[in-house]
Amino acid sequence: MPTGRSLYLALLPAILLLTLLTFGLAKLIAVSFDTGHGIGLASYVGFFARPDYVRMLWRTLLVALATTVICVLIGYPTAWFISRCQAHRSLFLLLVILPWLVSVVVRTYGWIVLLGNKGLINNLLVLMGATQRPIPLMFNLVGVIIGLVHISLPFMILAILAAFRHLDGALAEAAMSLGARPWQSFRRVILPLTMPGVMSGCSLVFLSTTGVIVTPLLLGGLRDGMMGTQIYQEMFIVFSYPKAATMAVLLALCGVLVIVPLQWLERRMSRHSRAAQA
Amino acid sequence: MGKATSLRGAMGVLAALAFTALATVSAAAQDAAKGEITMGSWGGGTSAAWRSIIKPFTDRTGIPVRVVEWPDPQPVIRAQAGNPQYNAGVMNYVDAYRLAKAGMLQTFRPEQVPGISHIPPEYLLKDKDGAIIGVPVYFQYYGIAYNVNEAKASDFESWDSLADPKWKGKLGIARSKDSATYDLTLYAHIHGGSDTNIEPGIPLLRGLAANSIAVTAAMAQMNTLLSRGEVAAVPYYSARFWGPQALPNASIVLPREGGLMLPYLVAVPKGSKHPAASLAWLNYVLEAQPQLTILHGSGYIPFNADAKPDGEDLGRLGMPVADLLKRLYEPDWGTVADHQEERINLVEQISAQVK
Repeated sequence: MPTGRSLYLALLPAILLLTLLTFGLAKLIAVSFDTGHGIGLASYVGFFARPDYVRMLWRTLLVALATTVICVLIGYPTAWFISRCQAHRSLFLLLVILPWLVSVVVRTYGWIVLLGNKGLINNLLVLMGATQRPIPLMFNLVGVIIGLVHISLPFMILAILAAFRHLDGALAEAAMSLGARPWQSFRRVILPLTMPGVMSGCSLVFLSTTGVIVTPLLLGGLRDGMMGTQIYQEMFIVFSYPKAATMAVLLALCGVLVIVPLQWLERRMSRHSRAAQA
Repeated sequence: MGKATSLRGAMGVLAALAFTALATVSAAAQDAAKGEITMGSWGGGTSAAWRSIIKPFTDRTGIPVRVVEWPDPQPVIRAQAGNPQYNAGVMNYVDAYRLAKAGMLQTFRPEQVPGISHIPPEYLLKDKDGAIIGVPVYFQYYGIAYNVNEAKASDFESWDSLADPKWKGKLGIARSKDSATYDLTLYAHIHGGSDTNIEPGIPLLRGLAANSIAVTAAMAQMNTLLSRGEVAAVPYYSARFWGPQALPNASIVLPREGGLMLPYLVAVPKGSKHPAASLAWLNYVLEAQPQLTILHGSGYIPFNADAKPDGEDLGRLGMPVADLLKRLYEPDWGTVADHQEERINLVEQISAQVK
């Protein structure tokens, strides 16, 4: 175990990073109170005076929540399948992270070809007679959520998979041998023990989704703007830094309000899970 | 004897090497004195067109030029304020005006850029002290682009067609920055407003927003949507419809009210290195031949009055430049730039109210 000087040296990068992060956050908060001729709440008042901005904040949180829930619903069984698959686990893991090898912009353009009114999915649906006219799958929140699930799913799968890899397989077998049915074994043993992974995945997906820029821009419609896109616009197009900082602070606060309970739950479940496995 | 010969030979070789080294150092010093140009440009066809005019300049002056693609000039130049990495850059008049107002662009007197005399004075962008903010090089126009399978030119004889409810859910609209800068300005002008009074343009923008399904977030994205027919029509840029790189399945129409002129200039970030080289470059890009070369490669129309497109290029333009200019409205870009932020906020609220 490193001691004395070597310990400090080892900690140096982490301390440096933490200092920079703290400084950045402090600067962000300070800029959000900058009125141009002093300190005040003008940017915050301006934000809440715009109903479209408030709706955008809510929309961002709802889209992030919907994306997170869908990622759990798809990610959990996928992670379970991969954890149980001994022979081709590496191949499946590669398939999971494959989307990360392509830029987010290119992936989003791919969705345009698939989801558009003249895209592959709508053409197939019309061809099969499932619908007479194209279903709007793009330039609305449906398109945004589909794009975001595609981007975020690997985070969720990997987080849950890590929980499955730590799960003692004998516990489920023990439950079954004590008379539990497969569903009971899943609900009473496997699910609670893998919930810390689910919570970690939720934190990762929710936080990364609240700040997205490209996907809502390319797959959303005129009224589907999200906070990340707006912050980008204020920063790099309008150059209104206090406004951008205010939006970033509000978004961060909303993130904290969601993530802190999730983290608390995760810690509680982890303790529970360790106790149960012991 | 043999020893003396080989000694003389070695000394000769050393002398030759020293001479070569000296000559190289001297040439490098001369090149350094001449400077070099790193030029910022939008990517794709635009940067390729700029690269196509470098060789004659370097052959003439010995100054090497490198064209580097930037996504948007304003954030790049603002981020590098005080330590600019570019010696020149092409940008639109609103970006140039705002950067100059923030003190981030070098301004010039007419005698520093004698070639400016070839540019009609009404197209010069000046700051409040009358100094020249960069040199105007070319323009394109803002018309209505349409997918040829989804619409025809006669559908858009007037800009007001964009508000026709028959296009509900079929049109594209520019992002709020460009709607505020281009659409509102043009629509106000068409409906009797002015650069300071854009109120008369709001109903048409509101109608377009109500009909729009997609926002032009990026050129590549709208190019894709337009070519695939995902949007039937969108207010768009004429240079996208030029020569071999023209968008497939799409065309552009200039409605009877005319279009908006979108002018571009080459400016120099304040404090950039090699100011003499930058000036030489500015004077070169003002010449007729480089501007004609850029037109041929990219569809940006020359500002130099002596640059007369002919043959294939004139055919693609469809009319002489003088006739085209008569159909384009050029606002006071300074006024437009001064109101840009408040108008972006207005457009955002119009968009949010769309049912």
